[in-house]
This record gives sequence, structure tokens and C-alpha cells, in this order.
Amino acid sequence: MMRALGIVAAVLLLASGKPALSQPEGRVALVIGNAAYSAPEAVLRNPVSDAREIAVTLRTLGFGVTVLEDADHVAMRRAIREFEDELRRRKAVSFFYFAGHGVQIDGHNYLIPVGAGVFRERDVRERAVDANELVERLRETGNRLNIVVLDACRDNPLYKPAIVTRGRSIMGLAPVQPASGTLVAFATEPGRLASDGGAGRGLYAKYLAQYMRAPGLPLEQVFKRVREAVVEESKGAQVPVEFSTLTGGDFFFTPPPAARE
Amino acid sequence: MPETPDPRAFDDEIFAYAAGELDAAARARVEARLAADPALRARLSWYEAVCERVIEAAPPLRDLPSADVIIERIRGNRRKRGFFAWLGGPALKPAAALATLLIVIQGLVVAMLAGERSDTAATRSAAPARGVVVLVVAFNPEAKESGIRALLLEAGATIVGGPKQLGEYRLQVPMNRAEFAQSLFGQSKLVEYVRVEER
Repeated sequence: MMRALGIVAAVLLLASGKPALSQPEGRVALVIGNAAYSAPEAVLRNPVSDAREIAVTLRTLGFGVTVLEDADHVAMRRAIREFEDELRRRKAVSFFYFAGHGVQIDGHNYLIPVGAGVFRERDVRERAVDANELVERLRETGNRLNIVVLDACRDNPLYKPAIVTRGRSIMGLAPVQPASGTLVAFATEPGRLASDGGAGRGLYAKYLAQYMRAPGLPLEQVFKRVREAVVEESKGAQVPVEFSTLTGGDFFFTPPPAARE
Repeated sequence: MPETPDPRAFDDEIFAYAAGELDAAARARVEARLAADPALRARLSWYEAVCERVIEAAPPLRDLPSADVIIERIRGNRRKRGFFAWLGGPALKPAAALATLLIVIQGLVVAMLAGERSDTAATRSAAPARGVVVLVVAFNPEAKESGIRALLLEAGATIVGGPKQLGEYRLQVPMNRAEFAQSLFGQSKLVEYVRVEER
């Protein structure tokens, strides 16, 4: 009973909202671009350049940025733990971006490290990073706002096993129910694949980098603008989506001009 | 295992150089590295190009139609009405709403009951006993079980939760051994990560 009351109280507290922050708060980002997968047919063209573009953009927006390129499982888990440790220390706004291969199994989304050699469901669970758990881990750091961007719905030619037909593992990513104070953005709809993009630049990253720099656009509007632009340019083939439990004041990547003066 | 360079330190310096943020001494240091490393020069060129691109004026905020409108326009009549579309009919809307409400209520009850089960890993890991400290520890994946057991014994630690998907366990140690245990885990080659859990 007390537990239920606690949940109700927490919901009411969240619903009451917080005032918009008047003072700048810390900003920390972890950006990962994985392209050089071991098998030639799994190699992607754009994740590394997309990650660099997002990283540079974030840095110009005041984020402390860690960039991993072609990261293996060891590097990814070390970077994620360091990212969490920093969030615990600073209680900053967090931004996590992953470009590369991703798959879903039983409703969980897994981000595939380079060199993981994942051919079976068990390989994925053991050698990839569970993005759903990552979202929960970020929430546990106790910061106000977590932004998780999964530009990871690109087709993995190595991972098309029989389990697909059993309905347990399918291409594209699975919808998520993010923890409070979290926005999870997918480059394309759950269950669909995103284009790796043309030479040198992924479609989603291109527009995300652009609209994050637009002054005075609240966080949700940034992703809405990105969706509109991606849908238009891909002629409807790619529809980015977000899952959000944000409450309280707006967050601006680039504040309105008046707020910056 | 060779030590991987810290990506933050590397990228921050190159970012700062590309953005013209370094002082003279730091610039000289980076330029010395650049002179000796063609790969680094290529990387810098790339960053400079990206910096130039992202520092361009932000895109104008056009009045685009909403994504829904665009999707509908493009996909048009390709999408057929689903089998359950008749549920949305005017006569059945109240019944559908009531059924949905009942399902939601049942779901909440089930979720609450599930949350009260006493023997789940989540419950076991929720509340440490008094007079103890909880350490979050990830063992090296190559570590052998016998080695881990010996380490736990030496530290006086007991596993009370985990592992998480990335391999972290929650270990409970008596408060008077916490510092020793943390140091022991921190220095062990069997351990790749350790921290004290916040209360």
C-alpha cells in the first residue's frame, strides 16, 4: 500500500513540473559511431562521420563530449560507466548518441559493438549493449534530463537468423518506455530499418546536427523538425520517432537569442 | 592488454584546436603532434570541415507540414484499413473505451502485485542492511570463477545483486572493511570497474 502511495506521490510530483531553469546546467555527452564491423558486408559507410558531426555540434553547444569510433564491447562498457560516473558527480543534462548496427530481441534493443561477432541471439545478449537497460542506468544517476538518440536501425546482414521467424527478434528497433525525465529518439520507426545515407553523411544525423543549432527551439521541437525534414527528404521511407517522459521546463540546445544576452 | 588512449583527452584537444580555442603553448604542442602524424592531420582536416559546416547559420525554420501529413501524402492509399478498424465505428466507441479502461486497471493491479513479490532480484538488490557498504563491481569477463570467489572471500564481500547486462554486481561488505575491499577490487586484474554505491 505504501509503495502504491509512493508511486502516486511521485507521479504527482512529476506532474507538478519544475520551473524552467534560469541558470545554465552542466552538459555531458557520449557519442559512439560504429562502422568498421568485421565482416565486409556488415561495414557501414556513415556512422563514424555522423558521430563526429554530432560530437562537434554538441561541443559547440557547450557539451563535454566523449567520442568513440569503431568501439568494441570493452570500450563501450568502459565509456558508458565513465559517462554514468560523470553524471553522478555533476547531475548534468546527458546526451547519448549511437550510430551503427542495432537489433531487437524480445523488446530489448541492443547496440552492436565492433568486433562482437554476433550471429545468434545469445551472442547479442552477451556481447552487445542493451539500450533499454542503458536508459534505466542513466535514470539511476539522478540527473534531470537524459536524451538518448539511437541512429542504429541499420540492417545487419550477418544477423538474420531463424529466430526472426519465431517473432522474437526482428529487424529495426523496438519501442521503449523511457524512465522519467528521458527522451529516447530513434532514427526511424520501430521495426523498420534506417538508411545508412549517401556518401559521407547520414540523413538523420545531418538534420539533427542542424536543428540542434537552431536558436530557441525546445528539445521536442528539435526532434519534430528533424522528423519533418527526414520524412520529406526520404520521401516517407524513413520516419524518425521519439518516446518521451519529459516534464517541467523546456530544454534548449541553443537558447533563444534573448536568453543568451 | 594495451592501454587505449583516453578518447576525451584526444578529441577535446583536437576540437579545441579546430575551433581556435587553444592558447599559444597548447597550439604549439598540437602542431608538433600534427607535424609528426599524417593521420592526425587528416583527422584535423575533417574536424575543421565539420566545424565550418556546423558553425554556419542555423537552418531557417520553415513551416513544413506535419510529419503525419507528409506521411499520408506520400503513402496515400497504400495503407489498407486493418482488420480491427471496425472497432473505431461510432456505435462501438464507448464499448471500446470501457474495455480499454478495464484492461488498464487490470494491468495496474497485476503490475502492483508483481512488484510485491519478495524474491525478485530487484527486491533483493534494493535495500542494503545497516552497517554495510555496497560496492558496484564488474569483473573482467576473462576472470575465472575460482579467482573471483577467492577475491570475494579476501574482501569479505557478498554478492547481493546483479549482474547487470554490462556485468556489474552489487557486493555488500561490512563498513569497517569497505575501504580495504574497494582498494582490493580496484587493484585486482580480475576487476574492470568498482565504485561505492550511493545511498
